[in-house]
Parts: sequence; C-alpha cells; structure tokens
Amino acid sequence: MPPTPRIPVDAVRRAFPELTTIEFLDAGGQSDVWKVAIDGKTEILRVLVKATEAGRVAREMAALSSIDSPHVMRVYEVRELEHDEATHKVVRAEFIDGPSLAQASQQSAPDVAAVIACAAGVLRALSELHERDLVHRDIKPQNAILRGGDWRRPVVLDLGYIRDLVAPPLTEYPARIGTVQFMAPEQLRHEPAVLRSDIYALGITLFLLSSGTHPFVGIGETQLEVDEVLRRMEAEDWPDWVRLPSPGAPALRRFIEPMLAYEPYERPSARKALARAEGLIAEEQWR
Amino acid sequence: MMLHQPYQRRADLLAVGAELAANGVGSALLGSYDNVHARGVGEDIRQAVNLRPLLADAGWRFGRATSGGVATASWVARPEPTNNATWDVAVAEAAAAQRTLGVDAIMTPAPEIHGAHGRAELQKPLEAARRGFRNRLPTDPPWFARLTLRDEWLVDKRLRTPLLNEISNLPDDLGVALHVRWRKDKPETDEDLLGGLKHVALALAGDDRPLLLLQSGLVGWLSLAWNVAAFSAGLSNASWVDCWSGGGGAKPGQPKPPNIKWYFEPALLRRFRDDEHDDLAAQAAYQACTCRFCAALASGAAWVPAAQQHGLYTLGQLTSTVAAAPAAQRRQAVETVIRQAESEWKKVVPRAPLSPSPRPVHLQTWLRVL
Repeated sequence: MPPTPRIPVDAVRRAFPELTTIEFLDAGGQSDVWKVAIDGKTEILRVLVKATEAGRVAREMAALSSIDSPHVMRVYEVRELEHDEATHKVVRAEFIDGPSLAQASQQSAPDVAAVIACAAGVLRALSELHERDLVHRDIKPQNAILRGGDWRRPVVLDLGYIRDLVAPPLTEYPARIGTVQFMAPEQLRHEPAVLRSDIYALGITLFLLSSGTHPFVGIGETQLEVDEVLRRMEAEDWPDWVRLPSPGAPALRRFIEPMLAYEPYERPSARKALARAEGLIAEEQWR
Repeated sequence: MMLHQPYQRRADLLAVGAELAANGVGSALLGSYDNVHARGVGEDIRQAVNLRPLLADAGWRFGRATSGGVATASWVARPEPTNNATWDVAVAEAAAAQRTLGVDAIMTPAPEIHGAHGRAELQKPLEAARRGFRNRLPTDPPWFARLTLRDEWLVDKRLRTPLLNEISNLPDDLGVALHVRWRKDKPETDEDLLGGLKHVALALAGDDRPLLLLQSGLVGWLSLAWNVAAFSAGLSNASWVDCWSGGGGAKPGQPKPPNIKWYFEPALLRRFRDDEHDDLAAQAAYQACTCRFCAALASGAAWVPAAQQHGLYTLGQLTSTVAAAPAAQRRQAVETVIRQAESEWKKVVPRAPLSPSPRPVHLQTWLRVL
C-alpha cells in the first residue's frame, strides 16, 4: 500500500499559503514529506507528525544553520501548523533531485568506485557535523540522496535525531535512538550514540550498498534478536566479507572493516576515514 | 621534552634548559598552576620567554586558596567543580590565565580520577574541555584536555576501553595531556602498566591526536616509541615518577625516610642511588658523563641540584636522539638506545655489587613491551 499523509494537505497549505504546487512524496517514521514549489523554486516540506519533536527541530535548525556543505541538505525555515488541536512543526528545506542511496542501489548495484566516492561525500558531511560535536544518529541508505543520481554527490538529510554533545540531552538513557538495523553496538546496548556511531552506521550502509546484504544478517534470515546481532558484531567471523563484489573486494574490505570495529575508539574518525577514501580515489587502489 | 618547572629552584631548572639549547637540543618549559607551584607560574614563565615553547599546566589539586601564604589561581582556589556551570568557569579562567601568559598550548584542569570513580567522573573534565574548546578564540594555540588518572585506567581493560572511547569522542583537534599517578614507584619495570600505556598512546597516535605525558620521566621517554608528542620531567623525583601510594616517602605513623640521592645513568637508562653510582663509577669500563653538571659535581658541587640537573639534561639528550627520527621510525630509534644500554649494562654492571637487582629488568621489560 503506498504511503499516505497523516497531516492533510489543507493544513499544509494553510501554513504555506505562498506555495503554488504540492505533491506528497513519502511518510517516514517522524514526518510526512511534501514536494512543493515556492517562488518558482522546488523545495520540500517535512511535517513532523509528533508534536513532541519540537525540541529536536530546534536543535536540527541550530545545527544546520552553521553548516554550508554540498553534502548536507540545506534547511531554510521552520513554521508551525495546527491540526486536530495539535501544533506540528514544518521544516522547509532544499529539494534534492535524485534517488536515495537505497533507491539507486536497487536500480543497479554500484561498483567499488561508486561506493568509495559516495562514502567520501557522506564522510565530508559527517566531518562537518562532527567538527561541531553533532552526532547524526540515523545514517542509512534512505537518509542520503544522490544529487542528480551521481554517486559522487551524496547529500545527507534528516537530521531530526541529531545529538549535540555540548547541549543538555533530549534523550533519557537507556534508550535507542535511530534505526535499529544501522545502529552501532553501543546504541544497541541502549547507550548514548557517540561521533563514531555514525561511522559504524556508514560501514553498515557501505556493506549493504556493495553486497546487497546487511553485514550481520545471514542470507535468508528475516528476524534476529538484538543480543544475537551484538554477538555477531563482536565475533571475528562476521561479516562474511566474501559477499563483497569483485573486483575491488580487498580494497573495499580494508576501507569498511575498521568502520565496523566493535569499540568506537577502534573506528576511524570521519576525518581519518575521509582521508582514506580520498587516498583510494586518487590512487584507484581497487583496480 | 617538557621541563617540569618547580617554583623554588627555578634557576636550577632554567640552567638545564639553557644548556640543552646551547647544545642544540630543543625543550619546552612547563609551568604549573597546581597548588604546590602556584606561586611561580605567572612571573616565572614571563621571565623564561627565551625557553620556548611555553606551557602552563592548569593543575589538578583544587580547593586550596593559598600556597605558602600566597593566593593560588582562582580556579585552583575554589573547590573542585561539581556541575557544568562551575566546570565552565574553571576552564574559562584557566584558559584566560594561560592566554595572558602567552603560552604555546592551552591546557584544561582536571582532578585525580580513580578507577572506582567510573566513567561518569571521567566525562566531567573531558566534557568541560570540549565546551571550552568549542568556545576557544581564533587566536588560541592548540588546546589539550588534561586527565589525571590513577594507573588502573591504563592497566584494567574494563577501564581503559571506556577511557579510549571517551577520548575518541572528543573533537579531532583537541589534544590530551595525561598525568598518570602510578601505584608503584617503579612503573618502568611493570609490563602491565607499560602495556596499558602503550595501548593508549598508540590509539591516540592512530587518530593523530597529540598526547602529552605529564610528570612521566623515563616512562615518558620510552613512550616516544609509541609516538607521544611530548613528556615532562623535572628536578624532583615526583616529576619523573608520580606515585600515589607514596613511593619512598613517609608512611602513616612513621618518620619520613631520608631523601634518596639519585643519579641517572643515561647509558644504562636507569637511576641509581649515589652509593650504587659510586660502585659503577669505579668500574674500568664505566664512562663518566662529561656534562657541565657532572663537571660541577666532580668539583665538589652539592649533589642537589647538580645530579638532578645532570639527569634532566641527559634525558633531554636522549629525547633529542629519538625525536630526530621520523615518527614511523621512533620505535626503532628507542629500541636501538635500549639495546645499546643493554650492551653497556653487560660491560659495566656485573662487576658492581649493586642491589637489589643487578639485572637490567627495566630494559628487558621495555624490549618485551615495545
């Protein structure tokens, strides 16, 4: 069944009377996403379906206002709309024309060069965030869009779960914030995400893009207990690196494996991982 | 090498710095706002501007308003910070004072943390350093988050792992100034302690995060093999080995034992008591040090400070030898010096009636750990 908006279009139109066209795009866990035209420009509106997310939106806006990167989605403003006696935040943001990593990889599997180039773009975004003590907490193939379908130009979006390490926490731990399939061990253990939790999520994402399978889920497995996933994350015989495509599997493994280290300190920083990606690109070491 | 500066014998220390500089050996001066030395840091550092880089340790012993009848620095005088607000004030004041001095690095303060304190206590000074670093001025020199840790944080993997996870979560450009308080007065012969330190040093080096080892003496020198950025040592025993269990000092209820007169043998990479040194010096194969401080000793100068100055000066020379090697070859450079010391030991020591251990236990330990 195709997704349907939880907040009706009339309510969105009332909040943005200047919009000339509006088209429903998607319904995510936290928000409805609309494609709109305002002042002749195509943009998106993200309507938060839970009224309690206001603090997170404020944090997202504060975080994004200091970043000007082609790899991080630009956010312009936040308004409010009333629906069913509740107030919902609406984030107006840049429209990026292209498929998500998830969509693009389903259309055709990326080769090693594309995966590394994409990783470099996402790592540039993460470097910008991490430099500001911001943890994204929800890096996954659905949360990055390839601008113009170009694997070299990924744009990270949906900073709704962002954690500012300097600000008072919005989350009371123990808790799990993010998407379970892309969480690092510390998040699965209900601990706060750290900067390098994003690196772990990117490692899972890159493995998934490369092989079409999750690194800690066996072929044909449909349900797994979290304890079993944690065991596999710590085990030496997971992931099954043979699943990576040839040619380029050894280089890809050398790049991804450190990101999937169990302890955060054993993973590279975003800056360090970016340097490795750029080195690989410059030397085309996967050939 | 950072020369750890006391207050009362500043001139003795500066003479070592001058001698190192005269012989082409670079060194830094590390003043301290810590209670014991609180009186000295401002004026002394200003007077020592020819000895650069300059650093001023923000300290770790809070809650003493005066030292020797003189007011201590504001953040040191107050009780240990208890919440974000008081921590932020302490870090801001410490940073401002260091800027006024014109230091080449800014260090945040941090209280001593035992293993039993746990991760939450560890986070407090680190998170305060993170907030201070975020508010740094564009003109600031590099920042270092100080950590004052009992050695169990290095030895016990259950503590070391969270320690490294916390450090790795700091901003990339925030260095770490680690002051380890050892439970033994001879950490240089404890393989577990050194192994833990190696693990920490290599993890930080792998992240390109500069690590300063405060008050670490010979262990600090050894750690150059693992690419620590710098270490400090001074004239006092505690500036070489800071031992929380008291080491050779007074035990509760007992009179203070007499001060040991140490002499550092650079060729053997170990300090010996003065009587042991005399035994060694009587050996035919023994090559006496020709430094200016040993010449003074030979001319009848008092053991303190001449022997201490010799120790610090020769440690600086050893540091220069290793630091000249590219980072990738430092381990090899340290090993070469250790193997030379092992060889020298065989020539000199067996014929000397040394006690308690005539074997080069420290060198053997180091070669295993390297």
